[in-house]
Amino acid sequence: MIYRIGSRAHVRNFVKSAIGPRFRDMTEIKKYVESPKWAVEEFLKQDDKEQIQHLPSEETVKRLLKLSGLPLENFDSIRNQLGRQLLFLDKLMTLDVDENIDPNHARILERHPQPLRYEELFRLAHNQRQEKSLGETDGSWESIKLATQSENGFYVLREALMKRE
Amino acid sequence: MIRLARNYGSKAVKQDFHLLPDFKLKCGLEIHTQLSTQNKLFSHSTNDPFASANVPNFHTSFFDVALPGTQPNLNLEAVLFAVKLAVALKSEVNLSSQFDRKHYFYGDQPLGYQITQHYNPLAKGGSIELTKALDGIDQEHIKIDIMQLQIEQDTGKSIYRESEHVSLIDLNRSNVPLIEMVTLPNFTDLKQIRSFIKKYQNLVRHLGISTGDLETGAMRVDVNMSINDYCRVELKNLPNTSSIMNAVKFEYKRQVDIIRRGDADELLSTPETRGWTGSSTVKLRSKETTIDYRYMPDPEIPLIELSPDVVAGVKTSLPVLPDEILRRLMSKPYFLSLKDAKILTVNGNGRDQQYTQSELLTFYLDTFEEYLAHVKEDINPKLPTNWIIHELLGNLNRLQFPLSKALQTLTPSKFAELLVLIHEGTLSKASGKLLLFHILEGAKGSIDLLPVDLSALIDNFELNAIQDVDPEELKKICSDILSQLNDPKLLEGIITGKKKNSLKFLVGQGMRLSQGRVKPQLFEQTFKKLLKITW
Repeated sequence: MIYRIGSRAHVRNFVKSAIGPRFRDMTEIKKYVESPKWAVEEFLKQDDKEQIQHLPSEETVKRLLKLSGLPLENFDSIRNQLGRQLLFLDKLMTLDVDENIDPNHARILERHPQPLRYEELFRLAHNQRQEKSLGETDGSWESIKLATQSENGFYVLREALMKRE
Repeated sequence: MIRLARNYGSKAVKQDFHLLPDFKLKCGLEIHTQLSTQNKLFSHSTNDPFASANVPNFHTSFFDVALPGTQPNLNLEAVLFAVKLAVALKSEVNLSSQFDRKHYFYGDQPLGYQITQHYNPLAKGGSIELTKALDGIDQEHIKIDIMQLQIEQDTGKSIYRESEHVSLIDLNRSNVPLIEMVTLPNFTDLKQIRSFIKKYQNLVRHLGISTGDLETGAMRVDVNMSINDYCRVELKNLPNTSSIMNAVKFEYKRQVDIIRRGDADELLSTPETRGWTGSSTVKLRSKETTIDYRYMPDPEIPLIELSPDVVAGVKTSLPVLPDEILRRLMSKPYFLSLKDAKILTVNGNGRDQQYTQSELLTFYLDTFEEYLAHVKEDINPKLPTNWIIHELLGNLNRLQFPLSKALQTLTPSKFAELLVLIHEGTLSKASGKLLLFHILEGAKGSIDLLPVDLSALIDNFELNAIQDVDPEELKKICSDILSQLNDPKLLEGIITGKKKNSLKFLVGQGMRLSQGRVKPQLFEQTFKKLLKITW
């Protein structure tokens, strides 16, 4: 993903310097200059000062932990991790991207899938197969065996996740 | 919050409810409907949310329980079902819709988010029409506009054991496909809401896309309501139609009280969500506690890209819709009453029912056609109606015998033959009833069913109506009945005309003695002659 965005970028600062074979003509030079090479580590390198600037407020982190149902343990470590992620996002935002791309297609999938026709939709809707390798076959595995606590086939949740009203 | 509950939350719903002219009710509905696809929405594990009654967590794939690393795989049957509903509602199908993540953390939501359609739902617009004639609303005609239809996942089920501070989780329902349908706030009274819910429920059943049951939670209705344009209140946890109606009534009275007391600016100025306890509505959430769902497009699921021919194809494949069927049945040549037409059209929940509406309707129409072909202009439209809707269904229910099985021996053409015999007077109604029951009872006990031979049966049991009844013999039977009656008061009532209906009792005695082979009209005429009745 990063490479894909990077390949459209023209930010000279992030082009890695390296000594390679001698250029033979102007075309080779132009081609080299126009196709930037990336050193992701260099681009994403974060210094301590930057990290501190990006630390989210304690209040925000507490709220996010609450929304995600996570405990307040390891608060500082989680806050630092979030800070690093924010910095990473900020760096990504500095990149030049193709504005013509429909954001609806901004996902790790085919950008322009072929629209489904009726016959095909009908056929696919009626010809489905359960994959045992995905645990889809009834009773092919016992999911609660992975749980630390279960009772008569149910997962058991303790009060932290109970209904709050 | 507590004070609010004490002041406004404890009045029971009164029976004598009516809307007040100065307090205008405005309502919208949000209905979640489980789709009866074979498999779940983003995995191919079996869609059987009620298996939880027997084996919890049985129909769960790796994705349904959100094992790390598993990915969603869209079930296109759910898309097909949703497009069917959209087309039936005249909604505009979005040919490029998408799935989004709605984040909230809860025990029965193992992914930590629900996959829904927030930014680009499957369909927008559309409407359902309610009429006085078909739906029994007070207005001649109203249109309820649909805002949008979206596909989303259902959650698992939690069973709370408050005393132990524990909840038990069953994920059989997790990832079952749902359609959320949202209407505009077009409802202005309770009859409209009730009719809409019934109509929508029948539509999803008719299209074969959902069981539509409120009791099992296959259909869940939330109500948004406001009075005099104050902020809307959303009512949730309404398990059946009477809860929905009672909650709206209670909430109406509660808000009217607030407005009358001059507290509306304080208490009705921000939206809130309230639940139904069975006797009152209680606050669940207000603006301050609104959940931040942090919606984002789901990066793992492709857009649903549909070709325009999907809409056209679905349109062609749709059955005739219930309103259209009702109108046809109520006009020439059927002339059914609304009540009878609804028996053939409005789908029940299928429990304890020996037929499906489409089986029954097809049987009725085919039988009617055969009957019409025989009798032509001399048609009596009530005959097929009474014999199919009342006699046949009554017997099937009594015998607990499914129509599909009965059809093997009593085909539409055989049933039409029976109707023609009754129509022509060859078989009296009473004999016809005995014969029908006999055929069905016999069929229930048989393994290999063949179309019934009516003439042979009629001959066997000597059920032919006696065509040339000897008037003297008839007179004698009637005199015997009268002499054995020994009830001067009854006779007096009949003679004076004060108890006209009691004559039917005498006719019934005659029918019993003649084993139904003499027409009841003949008995009636003879009794009238003997008793010198002038009315």
